[in-house]
Amino acid sequence: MTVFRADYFDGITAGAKVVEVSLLDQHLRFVHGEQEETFLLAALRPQAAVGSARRVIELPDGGRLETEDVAAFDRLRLPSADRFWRRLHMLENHLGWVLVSLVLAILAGWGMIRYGVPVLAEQVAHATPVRVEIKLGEQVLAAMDHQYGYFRPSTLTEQRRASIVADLKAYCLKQPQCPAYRLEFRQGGSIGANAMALPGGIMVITDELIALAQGNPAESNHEIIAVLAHELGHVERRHALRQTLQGTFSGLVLVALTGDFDSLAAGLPAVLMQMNYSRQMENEADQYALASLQRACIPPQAFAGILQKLQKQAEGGNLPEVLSSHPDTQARIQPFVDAEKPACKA
Amino acid sequence: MNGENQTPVVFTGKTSEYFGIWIVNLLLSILTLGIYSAWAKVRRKKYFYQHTFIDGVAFDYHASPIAILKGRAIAFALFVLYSVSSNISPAFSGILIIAFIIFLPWIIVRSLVFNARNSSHRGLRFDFTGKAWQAAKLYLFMPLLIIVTFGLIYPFISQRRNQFLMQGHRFGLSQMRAEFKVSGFYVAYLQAFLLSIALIGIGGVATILISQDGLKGLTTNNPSAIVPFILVYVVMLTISSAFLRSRLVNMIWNGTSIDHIGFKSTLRARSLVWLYVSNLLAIVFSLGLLTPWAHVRTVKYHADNMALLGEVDFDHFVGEKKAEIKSTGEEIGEMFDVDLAFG
Ligand SMILES: [Zn+2]
Repeated sequence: MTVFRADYFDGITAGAKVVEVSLLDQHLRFVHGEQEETFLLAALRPQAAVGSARRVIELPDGGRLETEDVAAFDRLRLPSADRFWRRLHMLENHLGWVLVSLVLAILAGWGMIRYGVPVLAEQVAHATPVRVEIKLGEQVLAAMDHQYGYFRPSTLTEQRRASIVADLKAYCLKQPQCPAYRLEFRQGGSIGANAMALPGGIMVITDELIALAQGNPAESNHEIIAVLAHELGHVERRHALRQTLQGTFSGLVLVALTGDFDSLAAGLPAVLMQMNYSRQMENEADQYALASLQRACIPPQAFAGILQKLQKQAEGGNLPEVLSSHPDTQARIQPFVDAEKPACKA
Repeated sequence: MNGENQTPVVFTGKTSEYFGIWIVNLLLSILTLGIYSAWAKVRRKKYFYQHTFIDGVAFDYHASPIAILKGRAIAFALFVLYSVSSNISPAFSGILIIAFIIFLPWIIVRSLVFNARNSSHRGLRFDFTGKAWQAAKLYLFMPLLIIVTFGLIYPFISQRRNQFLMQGHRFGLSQMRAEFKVSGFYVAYLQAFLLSIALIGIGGVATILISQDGLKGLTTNNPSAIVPFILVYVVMLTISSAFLRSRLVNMIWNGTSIDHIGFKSTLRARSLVWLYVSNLLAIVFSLGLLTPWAHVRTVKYHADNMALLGEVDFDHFVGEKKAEIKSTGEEIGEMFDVDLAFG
């Protein structure tokens, strides 16, 4: 009996031959010209359906049949090994499933970048040898010094530097454990008053920030130590490395997902997410600073003081690292203002 | 032009249908951490190929997802190796870059071969016969002359590259022929250059207007404040590249033939600019959800503006012997698929 009409291509010439395909006793049979072709059903390779396209059967000898008669093709129930593709086709063609997929895709993509990438970055950061991380930090610092020309050599006197180094050491000795760090002095230039933690425990503090903190000489180092305590919080949790890894992984996830690079729109949310978890890191660094300052007998109000000075100075200018991703400085310094002054003396 | 001798290219894809394929691709790619993206690519290409008809018969795409996945895994591994090493050992990453440059012509040719051999029409496969040394000349050595000539040689290089791309393709046993006028490329690039200059002027004014409140946002370190700037810049870039593309694609197809069949491409710069800019804005403001719509209408526009000239008697085209088809089918286990575009 005739099952459907199809275009037959023999694989040698490009001309289409219209044939009547019939099914007989587990064999597919059709006649073109004088010739009769018979194929065992099990030897056929029916292609997975894509949308409403013509259905295709690949023949074992390199020929192919193409038919518009989708219903007849489906009735054939060819022994396709690809159950997977059939399920896929059903998924793609039912409005309900498409909507479910849409919601799931948004949730999965969001969850991946929001939770998956940070966890992965943390794991990789843990697995990264300290030596490698220090090397990375040195590269970054060298790039900031030379390639980008952010910094110039510090103009602080040796004495001033030594007093800061000594105070930081004293602060560190009062901590149950202090992460390994290296303090670098630089002139900030266009970056201005700033302090930052690079991978590998390298902390950079600019002359401008030190000058800004130098209001009342007796307490001046308190404000500097307060800022460095915040940076040490970043060092302790290896935030710089994690942040670098997160940026790289988010980019990789997006490239892997879309497969092509024309997804500007897909990139934007990732940037926004990035801001979000760096805020969480800032909170961790703040908590670390608050607790450690109290342990070191330094009034936490020093941190509030330097932040307010920075905020005042930053109006209209660049934001230093300690203020970044915190639109509301006031809410942030409140715990430091409210904190009890330590009973001990630094 | 004799209407009887023109055969249109017809694209029958629909956004409503493709949206399902696109979203399922996206979902499964996310859930499998990107592994499914190789299957997704096959699915997407198959959809567009199988809905593009010439004289009532569509194209087909045959690539094996596993081959694509292998290629992507290698590319991914190399990328990770490179990004890690560039931070730790610049010397090693330098070696990687040099190795990549040396292999680039080979990769270009392999990816063209991969794509061509996995594409078919009417039961005949395409093929690409260009050689790696030709690619090396066009993609490595000639670009060195760009610096010496202050870029003046670029249209010439573009003409040679496109001739290489088109001439290298075969349908069955029939080789494509391509003959483009160098002067045409120079005119197109000059016009695009002048257009860019004009747009940069307009863009400058637009940036100043936006910056009234935009700059304030920038200084408070709000990264989203930079979005309008990027958007203006991207729109300008889109306009000039759409203009250039319309001119080049028309020239390329109109100068290409295969056996007794010629091609006629009638892209219009204005329509293409509108198509690209509206696509871009739709994608950005729908947060990517209109991507399938943009994709479908772009392909439809290109198909609508393409026709075959001459008697389309496909019986003239022949392929290899049936037995040999099998063997070429095996050897395409190669996996480089880099997408090359005109330009
Ligand atoms: Zn911080």
